[in-house]
Amino acid sequence: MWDKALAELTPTFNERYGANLVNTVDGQNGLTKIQQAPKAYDLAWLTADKAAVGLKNGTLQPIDTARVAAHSNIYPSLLNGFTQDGKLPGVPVSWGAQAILYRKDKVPFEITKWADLWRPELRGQVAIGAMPSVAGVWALMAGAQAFGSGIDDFDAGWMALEQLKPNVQYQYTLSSDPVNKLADGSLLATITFADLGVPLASRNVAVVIPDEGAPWSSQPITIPAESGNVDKVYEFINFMLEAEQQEAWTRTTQVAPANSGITLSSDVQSKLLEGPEVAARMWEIDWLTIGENVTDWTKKWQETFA
Amino acid sequence: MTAALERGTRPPVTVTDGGGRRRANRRVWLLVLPLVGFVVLLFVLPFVAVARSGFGEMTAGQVSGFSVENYATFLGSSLYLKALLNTLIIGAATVVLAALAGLPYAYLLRTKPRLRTFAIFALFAPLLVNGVVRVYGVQLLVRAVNRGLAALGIPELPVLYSMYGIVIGMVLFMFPQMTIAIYASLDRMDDRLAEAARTLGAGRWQIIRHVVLPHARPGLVAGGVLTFAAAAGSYLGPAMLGGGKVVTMPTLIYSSFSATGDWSFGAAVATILTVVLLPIMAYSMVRSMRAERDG
Repeated sequence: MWDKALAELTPTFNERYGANLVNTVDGQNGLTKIQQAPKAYDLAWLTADKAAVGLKNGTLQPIDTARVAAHSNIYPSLLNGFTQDGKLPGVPVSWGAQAILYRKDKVPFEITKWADLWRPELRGQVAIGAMPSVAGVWALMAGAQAFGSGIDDFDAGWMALEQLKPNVQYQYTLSSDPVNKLADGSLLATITFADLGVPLASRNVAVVIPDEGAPWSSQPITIPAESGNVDKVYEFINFMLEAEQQEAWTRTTQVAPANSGITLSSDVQSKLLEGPEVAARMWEIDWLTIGENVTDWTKKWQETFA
Repeated sequence: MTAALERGTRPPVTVTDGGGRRRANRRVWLLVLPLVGFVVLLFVLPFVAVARSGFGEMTAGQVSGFSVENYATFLGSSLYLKALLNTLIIGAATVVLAALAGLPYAYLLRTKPRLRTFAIFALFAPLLVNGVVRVYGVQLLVRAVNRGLAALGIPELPVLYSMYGIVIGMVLFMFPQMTIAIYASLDRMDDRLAEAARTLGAGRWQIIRHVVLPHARPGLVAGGVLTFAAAAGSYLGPAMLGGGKVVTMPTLIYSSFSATGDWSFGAAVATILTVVLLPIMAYSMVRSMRAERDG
């Protein structure tokens, strides 16, 4: 979907600016690719945790926010936890809220908070993402939030995951997978994207973003330290944050625009759960901590669940 | 030469001449050389590169230095050893079950020529479907069976998101190649052997044991080696059917290469998997070739 959206938009950019930027849309492996060929890419779409690590180890250059025209309009919750010592590793042009999705016709209580996923009525009926994907980190943070002092209380989060085990039916590798299983009734609850563009209400699937807040995902545009086309990359970032491109991107990818200063057409907005109110409830995620710990966490995760 | 044959002696073969034998050997090597080059280029060199990476450290996206730490980490971890054991169990169980299912199917192909076209089409048709879709199909099938059992008040089969589920999925994936390997062996069987055995009073099981199975053995071994390697090396099956609850070598390799960026550890895991699998496969192949040579 990401590649499709990019293929739709880049010809317009190339035509307008006479550029042909070398992209890599490889959230997980992109950072390693840049490290191995530092001059090969003009820009990279990385996951936020990889971007944070890339800035810290010098693979990426910090974003000059003065050159990002819509910087002040980007939702603060997308920037606050992402920024390291005043330096921004990348520019989020879109984002997607994570939520609890559940079958309201089959779960015998109303789910309103993260701790509800731990209730014994959901034994064997919950799907969570698998670490090392960030989808696994959401379950860890949800446990930390529900049973600890906040999303960064990882010790509490790991203890909570131990308690969640009986309820976990399986761990998914594709975010759309549990949605299909909710729809066919073989699963009762999951943590995944709040909005994958699938009409769920008719299948009795409720989407809940708890009042305690929720995690979110983004694949920001980053600039390799040795990018040879920096000026054009900033033009591209500004292009992507324009209202027209934000709408086109949202229409294709079904993820929300990062630019809070634009108004989506009613047909696009009506299919989108995210908006300013939801954005305000998103957790400030310390992406660098995730990036630096994901290898150790993955082993701990496998020991917990395997 | 005709006179020599008539006398029942061996013909005077020209390779008894030393120079001729050398020329013949040279011709053989010339024929083998492209194959050796192919294996070296596409298997040995990449394997050496991967093995070398396993002995390095991952720093800033590059593998450098020399260290046995990755291997020590693997061997010192009960989680990783469990991954190796799970992988071998999946490979072995898939071979056994695919062989048990493939042998009768291959025998049917051999003995029912009228059904052969349809049976071969039915065998290979699933291969036209994307692997992810086939895995999803396995899940739907198991769920349908479980719903049926639940409706009858029978406990559900504990196969989804478990080792059982992975093995069932892998058997469905590997069944065609195992079957066709066995069929290739059985196709060389002389039908008159079974008829002769029957004439001499052998029962069905005796015919299967003493006539069919010996002829199927090369195919069983070849199919077994291919199936074992493919099942032990599969990422998709364990990732989707294991539900994150069964850790295997390919899932470790994937998470090291793709998500955590620890390529040197991933390379070490891949090397260990290859080093464990190669002797098993080589032993099977050598035994099979010896058995075939010895009749």
